[in-house]
Amino acid sequence: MKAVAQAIRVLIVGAALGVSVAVVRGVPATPTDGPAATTCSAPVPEHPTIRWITQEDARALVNDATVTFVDARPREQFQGGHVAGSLSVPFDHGGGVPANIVEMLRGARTVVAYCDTSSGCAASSRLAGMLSVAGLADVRVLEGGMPAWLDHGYPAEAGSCRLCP
Amino acid sequence: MKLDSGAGRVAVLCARALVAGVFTWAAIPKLVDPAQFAESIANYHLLPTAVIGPLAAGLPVLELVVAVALLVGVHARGAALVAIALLVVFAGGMAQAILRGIDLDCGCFGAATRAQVTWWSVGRNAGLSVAASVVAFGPEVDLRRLFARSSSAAKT
Repeated sequence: MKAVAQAIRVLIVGAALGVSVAVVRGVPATPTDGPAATTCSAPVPEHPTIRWITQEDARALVNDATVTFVDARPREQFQGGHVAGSLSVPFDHGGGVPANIVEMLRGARTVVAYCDTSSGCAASSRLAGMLSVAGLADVRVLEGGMPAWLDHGYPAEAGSCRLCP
Repeated sequence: MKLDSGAGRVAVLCARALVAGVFTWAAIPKLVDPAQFAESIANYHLLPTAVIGPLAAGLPVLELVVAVALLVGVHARGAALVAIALLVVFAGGMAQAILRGIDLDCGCFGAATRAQVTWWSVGRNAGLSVAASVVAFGPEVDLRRLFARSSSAAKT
């Protein structure tokens, strides 16, 4: 019982200090949430230059040699099935995109990043944000990600990354 | 090993240091960049939007209070209970994200260390909960009394 009483005191002190800090520093802005996020078409906060691309528009670009698709999912998921001809750039690089990947993507007119649909596109949005910050002019995030791509029956392939450096 | 033995007290001290260290490591980046932490919370798709901002501002402070209490030894057992509760809630959030197929950054250590949520993250929280349990249910170790005893033993 003594430990429980202590826990309550710790909680009270933590809550009081937490409220004080929130009052002094202000409460951070809440990211946009709602139906758009779950359909993978929410606006990308902090990176307004990144644009979304619909499945249909992306399909029209898949055979365009100047467009590169980048898959932000873990490598195992990529190997299980990915947009045909895409590049695997799993979002686990400790906050950065390898320089050789960025250099490789500089040759593309448009880069389309995708991951899966249930994440609010967290991985592909952040990857796209980093690529945009790295200076790539036209980076898009694929609405609906890989699940919607497969649902549409658009060109996909399995196996390891053919284009990866 | 009995927890009230000498070795048990050392185990309690080690567990306190471990949990306090991890909580400090987790709290500071979140305090530095609360907006990023708010985004991490939002990505779990668990909480109402209105709650996320205040939680992002207040939770790191609670983590830091728990860490300080564990380090200093003031209300350490109570702080360990709070740590267990937090770790269980965090692990639950991660587990539901994995089961729902949500691919997201853990947000556990702010923007400083990006790591995707995996069962390993859940296991890490379970391990830390065990360490916190050693503190919560083990003997109280008063560092001042411990040092006083060892210094008097050294004199004799």
